Amino acid sequence: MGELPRHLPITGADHFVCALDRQMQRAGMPGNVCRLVVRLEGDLDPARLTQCLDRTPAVQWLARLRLKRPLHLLAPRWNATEGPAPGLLVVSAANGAGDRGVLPAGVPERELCAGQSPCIAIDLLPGAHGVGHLVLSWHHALMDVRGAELLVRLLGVATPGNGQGSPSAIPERISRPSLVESLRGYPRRLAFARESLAFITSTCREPMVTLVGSTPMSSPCRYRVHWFDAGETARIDEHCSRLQAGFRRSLFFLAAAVQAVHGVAARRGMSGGAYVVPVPHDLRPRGADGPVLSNQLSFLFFRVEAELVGDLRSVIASLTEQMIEQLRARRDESFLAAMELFRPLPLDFYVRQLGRPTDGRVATFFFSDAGESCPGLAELAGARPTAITHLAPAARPPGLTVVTSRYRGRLCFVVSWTADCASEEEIDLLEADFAVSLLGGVAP
Amino acid sequence: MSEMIDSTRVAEELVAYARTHLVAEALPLEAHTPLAQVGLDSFCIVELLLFAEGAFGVRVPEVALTHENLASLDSLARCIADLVGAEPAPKAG
Repeated sequence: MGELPRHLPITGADHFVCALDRQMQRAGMPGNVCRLVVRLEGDLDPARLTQCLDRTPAVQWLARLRLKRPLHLLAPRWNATEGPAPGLLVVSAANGAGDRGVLPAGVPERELCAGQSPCIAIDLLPGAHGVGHLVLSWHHALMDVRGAELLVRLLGVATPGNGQGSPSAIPERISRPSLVESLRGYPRRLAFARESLAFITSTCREPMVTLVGSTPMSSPCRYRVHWFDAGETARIDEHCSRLQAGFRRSLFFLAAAVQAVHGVAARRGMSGGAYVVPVPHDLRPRGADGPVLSNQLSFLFFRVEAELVGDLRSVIASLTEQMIEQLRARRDESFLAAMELFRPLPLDFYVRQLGRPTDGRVATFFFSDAGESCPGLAELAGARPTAITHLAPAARPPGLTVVTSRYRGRLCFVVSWTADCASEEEIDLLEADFAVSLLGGVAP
Repeated sequence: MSEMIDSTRVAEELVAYARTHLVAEALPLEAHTPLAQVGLDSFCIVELLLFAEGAFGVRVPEVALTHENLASLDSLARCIADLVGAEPAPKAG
């Protein structure tokens, strides 16, 4: 891997998630902290995991990174602190599942601050009857979900033929243009970024459906996890194929999520408006071994008018057309250019600009399809993984995030939300509607 | 009818594009490899379609985005070649 650097620039996407973090903290939330929960069966061996952490310099390096702005109006960068490696692993006895069976009880609400503390933490919770959990928590500024999965692979054992090599921790090519190159390319990048902002402003135009209130209620993020069994997952795949959406599986999931959110809005008496959903796009080549560090993301922005909702096929067709048009126009690249350009902006100013065109309303909800989780991971901490759950925080606004993923033939979706976005009863209905839409109209 | 195009050539170009832009170097990808096996998602498929637009001057209509046509780069190449062959020739000026 080579020597790990002491300083590293952040990407525009990293700075963007830091802006979301600042918004969330202003709303009284712990911040942009993500979690991956791995359910493990077998004899958990904390010592094995500790040894793995100790002998993996990349993980220790990641834990020593702190986000600092060297000078005002210069882009922030990662600095690797000196001194002994921080203790990353906490082993504690699980005493049953907390929070409606989502996070194992005993896992503290970790507040990982990118500037002041390690941005990652690992909880290992041996439980009863040979079932335990490993919870990886990380600040979103450090890495995205694909990076987190690669990190978990670093700590575990892969099945043969699934890449025994170590994922690379850092991006191979770190963009460090000279001052002259930066200045020369500035007008082009500015024009590109302006195109992106004009497109986003248009996509997020009113009327836009938003479930969250204008006054934030200080509350932790809540999660609802729904696993389908293998038979139900097969039915969902068949339904997707019947809609000729086989290659557009993510759009099929998104369309069903839009329908479910529409159900909540309709029950509130909201009529008209459009559902606006930003969707992240992993820029790594498929099957890539890295990098772990940094958000390798751009975003596409989808808008679904309320009158279209109700016919899943029409929504999928609209989403497909929008995806093709955005990629044809290289909207993902222009959004990347905009995020890169905004890197030097002070966070408070950046946050104010984010929602300015729509008076703070940036989207109806965030959506992501994580695909197959940790493919090829055979063993972790001496035990066998049997389920992997992605717990993305509900960035606020909009206060609602939906993530789909798959693990060994079973589909899962997680809804995360803030208390001022929806009630438990509304989430019950959203969960039920989403499941029914995916299954093709038949309740699970 | 416009000039016919060999689907083998289309497949070769699709494979070359995918190897350069979409998949990791170590990932085995041939024209007959099932796309689902390679993990090409909707973004990647759209990138391939847009590449085909630029390289062969044909837009693949939504009705052609079937499970069969998107099974592999071979099947996508045959679909594209058929569409190229079916395009009306430009009128003589």
